[in-house]
Amino acid sequence: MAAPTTRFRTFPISVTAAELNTTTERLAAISGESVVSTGVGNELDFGIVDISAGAANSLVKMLVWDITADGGNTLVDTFKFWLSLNGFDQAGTIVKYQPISGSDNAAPSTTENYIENAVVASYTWTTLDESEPGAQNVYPTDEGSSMVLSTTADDVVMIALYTAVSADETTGTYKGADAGYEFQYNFQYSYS
Amino acid sequence: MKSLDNCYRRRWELYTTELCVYDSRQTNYKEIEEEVIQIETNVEGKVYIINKFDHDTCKGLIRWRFGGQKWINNILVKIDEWCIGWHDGEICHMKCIQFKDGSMIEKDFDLKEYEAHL
Repeated sequence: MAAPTTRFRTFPISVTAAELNTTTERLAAISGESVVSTGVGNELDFGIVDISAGAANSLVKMLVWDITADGGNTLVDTFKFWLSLNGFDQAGTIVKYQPISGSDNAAPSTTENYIENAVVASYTWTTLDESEPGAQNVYPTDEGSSMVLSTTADDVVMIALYTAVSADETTGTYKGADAGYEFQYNFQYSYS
Repeated sequence: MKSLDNCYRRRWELYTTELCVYDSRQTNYKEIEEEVIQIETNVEGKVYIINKFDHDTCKGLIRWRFGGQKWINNILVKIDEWCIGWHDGEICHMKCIQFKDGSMIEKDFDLKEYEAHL
């Protein structure tokens, strides 16, 4: 069997909750979506965070991961997402995350339902690990430990993120492997 | 053949039951109805074998693969690791084999995290 083919997407936080409240909608093209990859211009861009008046937060960004070709496999699980490398000088500069579901998940536990035009106060956040988590730390929208594959996945992993920047952080553009300004994530899953 | 592409010519598994041997290039492990008693993984000329009867506390064999991407020394590396092993009902005792070169390290995992692969 071949490895599954996966993709990362982002979409504007102005997308309404009604546009994301079914699995079919989340798997299909989401309004305003774009591919996230390591290619220049495809980064998940947190924008400019102005710390001239002290510590500040970035905008909230959305990240979606799913499978587009199963490669002969029937299941993916143990999803792990972490901030593998960063060039931040201040320990207080961190990335916060929250797994997100649609409103079709009526009793979210390990996720929270998507909120249109979310701000930092909209969700309950956890500091993103900076090394491989010991266990699954992001979840499909149904909060299962796995997703079934039949050509594509039957669900997506959706994550809200923001960056909290300390007042004394070194200013500059943090991205990719730029020396001193690294900003890189790892994503791992198991499949069979 | 199912999902056979160039990169799998030097990497495959054989699943042995009491009656048959199945090739991973043709058969998904999960679709084998009989109990698998041996897994033989061939990666880049290296061969690793897990046999149920070599482990007194073995309650079954288990296998999965890791996918994804990670950064090593600022180089983006595709995660492609094959794990074959056995479990005692609580812990999975695995041989984790690198897809690229067939090197292997042994690791233990909590079965609860991976029981979907049984």
